[in-house]
Amino acid sequence: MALTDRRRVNGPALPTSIPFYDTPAPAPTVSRSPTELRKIFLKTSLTPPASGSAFYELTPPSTLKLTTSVYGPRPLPPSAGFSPTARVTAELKFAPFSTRGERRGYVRDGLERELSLQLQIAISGMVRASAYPKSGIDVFVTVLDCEGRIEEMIGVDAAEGEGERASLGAMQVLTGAITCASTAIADAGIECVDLVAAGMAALVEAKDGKDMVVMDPSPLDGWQVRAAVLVGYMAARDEITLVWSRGEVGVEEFTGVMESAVEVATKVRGVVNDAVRERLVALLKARGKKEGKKAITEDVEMTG
Amino acid sequence: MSLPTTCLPGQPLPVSPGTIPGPGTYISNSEITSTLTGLPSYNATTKTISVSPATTLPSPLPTISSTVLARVTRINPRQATVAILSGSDTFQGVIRQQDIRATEKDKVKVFESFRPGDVVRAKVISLGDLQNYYLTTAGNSLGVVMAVSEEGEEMVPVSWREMRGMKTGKVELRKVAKPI
Repeated sequence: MALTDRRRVNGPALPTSIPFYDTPAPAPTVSRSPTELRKIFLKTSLTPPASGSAFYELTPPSTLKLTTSVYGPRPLPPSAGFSPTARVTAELKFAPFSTRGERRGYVRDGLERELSLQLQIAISGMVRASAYPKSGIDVFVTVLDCEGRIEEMIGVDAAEGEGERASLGAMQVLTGAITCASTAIADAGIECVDLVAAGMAALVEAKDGKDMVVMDPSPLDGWQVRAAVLVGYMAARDEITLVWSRGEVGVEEFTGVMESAVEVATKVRGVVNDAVRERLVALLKARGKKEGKKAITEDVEMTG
Repeated sequence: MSLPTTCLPGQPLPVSPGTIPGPGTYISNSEITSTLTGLPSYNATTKTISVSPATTLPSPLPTISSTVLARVTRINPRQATVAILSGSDTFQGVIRQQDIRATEKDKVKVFESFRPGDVVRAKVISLGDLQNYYLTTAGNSLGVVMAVSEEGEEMVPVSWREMRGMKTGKVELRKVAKPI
């Protein structure tokens, strides 16, 4: 205290925050019908050095934005060991600015590790790995913007209902990541047995107290979510590559929710198809093939 | 049978019976299905349906019996280690002493055939082990295509086993590829 300058007005010893008067956020309202899907913007080949890449965005008010780049097939590092088929690895990373409020650290955390693993399971089934011996295909997904809250994925300490809704944020990121990654792999020209598209559906408590199934639920919608199911689905082969469910749900109800999720994935597949075909159209144009122009329209209207 | 103009992965291709699946296709539930985003085509003479991709991979993988260009990185009395040049990536390969030429294999000396820095045209004989593809230069058209001498001078082939410096005329030994 002796060293304190008492002749002048000193600033505060610790930093203080500016008083900031914020109006409380309006309560979330449900604006979509339970069977209406949000529109998806999906574009390929935006990262030049990558073999293939894609950008995924949901139309406002949803804010989810992702980019994916695919590298490979390239030689495996000696530490990886011998593999007679291609080894598909996936890494999902949240950008530091991707979450609302608090910035995320650069260090890989548990959630990123979990989502990376799920993503890898979902997409490795679609690549024709036997065509690429001794090589690695690396998929990198960067989440640029999230929707809703991500942190309380499990919802341990959250209020009733709130916890499951919070987990929707993480599930939605994975839904987007699977769709985006599958588009980027197809864009790279890697042989695939089929394309994976992801879809999500939730069992929610309606106003009358009954349960109902909502397709493509958003954490911003404000549903009282009881359970949510995410599927990675290959529509042409009618094959599910990944199922991820959260919340409590009975067996019969689960089947219903999953079927809805598959229906969402089938519709999303249409968007993936259009996005992948876009580059083909450009190629045909470059070649000046007239029959190509006849077969495909130049602009593709992407609907979810 | 009319083929679609374009196809996507997982799309079944309409084919007549007896058609053979070619590159870019596979058989799924007894249907020939595309594995690539591209343009399907049917070869009537070979009865093969194939899909040519819209985008080629930046670095195609070496396959068995494909001819590759490789740069020699190091040599020892048993083998020469090479880096196969394929787009942006390089794949490591080896040319063993017995694979350098087709005749008198036991008399081949690696250091009289290749030197580090040479560019070699070689054929893939095996996908090999974890690290290496196995290559061979046995054949007239295979061997060194570009080399510099110990002095750093560019050399031109003079015979199947000799190269000569362009200015000094100094001769060095190589397993030379027949110029195309």
